Amino acid sequence: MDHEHGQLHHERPARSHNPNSNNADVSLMMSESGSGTTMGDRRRQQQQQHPQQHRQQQQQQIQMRYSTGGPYLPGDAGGGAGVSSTTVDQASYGYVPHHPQMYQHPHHHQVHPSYSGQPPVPPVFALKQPPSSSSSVQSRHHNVATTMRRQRPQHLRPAVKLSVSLIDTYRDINRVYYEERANNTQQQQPQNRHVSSNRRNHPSSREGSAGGVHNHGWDDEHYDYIIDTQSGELLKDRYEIKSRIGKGSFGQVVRAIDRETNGDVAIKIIKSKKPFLLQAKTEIELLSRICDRDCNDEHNIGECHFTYFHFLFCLETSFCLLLFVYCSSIKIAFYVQKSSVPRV
Amino acid sequence: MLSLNLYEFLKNTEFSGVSLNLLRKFAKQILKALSYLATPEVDIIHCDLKPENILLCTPKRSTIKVIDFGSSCRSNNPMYSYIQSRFYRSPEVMLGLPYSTAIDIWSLGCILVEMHTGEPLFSGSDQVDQMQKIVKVSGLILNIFS
Repeated sequence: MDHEHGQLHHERPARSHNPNSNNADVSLMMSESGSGTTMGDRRRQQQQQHPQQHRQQQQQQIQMRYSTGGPYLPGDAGGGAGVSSTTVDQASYGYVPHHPQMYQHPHHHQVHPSYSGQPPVPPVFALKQPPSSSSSVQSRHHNVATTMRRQRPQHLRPAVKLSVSLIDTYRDINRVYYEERANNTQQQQPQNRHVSSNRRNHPSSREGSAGGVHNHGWDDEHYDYIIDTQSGELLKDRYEIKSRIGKGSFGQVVRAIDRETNGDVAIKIIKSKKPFLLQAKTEIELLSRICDRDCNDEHNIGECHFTYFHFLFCLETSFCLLLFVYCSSIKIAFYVQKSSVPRV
Repeated sequence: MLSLNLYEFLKNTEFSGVSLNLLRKFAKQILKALSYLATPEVDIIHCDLKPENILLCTPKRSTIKVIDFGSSCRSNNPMYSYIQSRFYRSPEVMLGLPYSTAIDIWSLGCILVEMHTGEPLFSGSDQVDQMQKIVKVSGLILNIFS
């Protein structure tokens, strides 16, 4: 940092390198006065604000408070300028004015004649006066803020967190959110286990079947029908579930064996939610339309290749099976079955 | 039971693509299916044509089947505006315009190129990128429709 600034602003390192050379300081002050917004300019602005402050009734109190070194002084070591950027600048350059001569600029005396009437105040304390504040409360505020900003590491400052490292900030928020959510689900799971253990106690319960969250325990938390591949679950007393082939937003597709024909079938089991049910009905309607006119399987449509198109629909438990049988004959059957029996 | 889908088939070639000869056989069968779907008596838009939804009947032969009518609709009764997989999504769907069975032909074109080159033709990372990639090749969308 220092090296960089040394290249950009030649005056400042020069000053800090020669802190005891009064002549150097004064000449630098003069040279700065002609060049844009420099330290000299800013300081002069501060000094021009002093007269207003001196007109305040409480001026004497403020001076007392600050010249005796109140609790907020340490944070303001660079010189308590009313403009915070000046404060930061001065602090970051490590520049602390030492010399009374620097404040005896002729301009200063012209603007503010009463200043010379003040009892001689050490320059460091003089700078510590909050020049632009009209009340001591406001200045205290400012000093607290300055102190906190300096104590807070660079990467924790809101300005940095919301700009340069915004992505990291979002990432942190996400991490915290997902951790909390994981904790919440972990807390909920014991309840589910309790329910499922109750189910197992039911006389007609199947051994090893996991209890679901939705649909009387038939469906998992995503409303997917819980398939039982181990024990060879039978659907409609005919189709023996073998494995899951795929899963999607609609639900899942399982591979099964048709006990009657010993052929492989694929069964699409949609989620037990109304939108999926409506979509499944549409699909069935469209497929029946296709298959009605594609009796000879000439058109390379996959589903028409299925022998048997079977739709098992339980209104009460509202789980829904679309059955696509991958064989040769072309017959479509719709099968609707009502069932209100909870899974046990 | 049907066999591999065309994506898995392409993967088995280590994405080097299939020959034009085989591609022609695939194209003919898919077109047959699409022309059947587009006949006035059937009149169905597949809406999700992609290599994953085209299955080989047997691993050793070129016979294929079009599957998955899970997001399909009649062309006189379009149900959703957000349809098709992104790589194969047609401009009219992207722009929210009325669509017809022609959107399946767009997908078919993308699939055929991908099957031959091994790479998706327009592999947009999002909808805007997808449109950008299409415009880069085809010129402005207005020109496509005119």
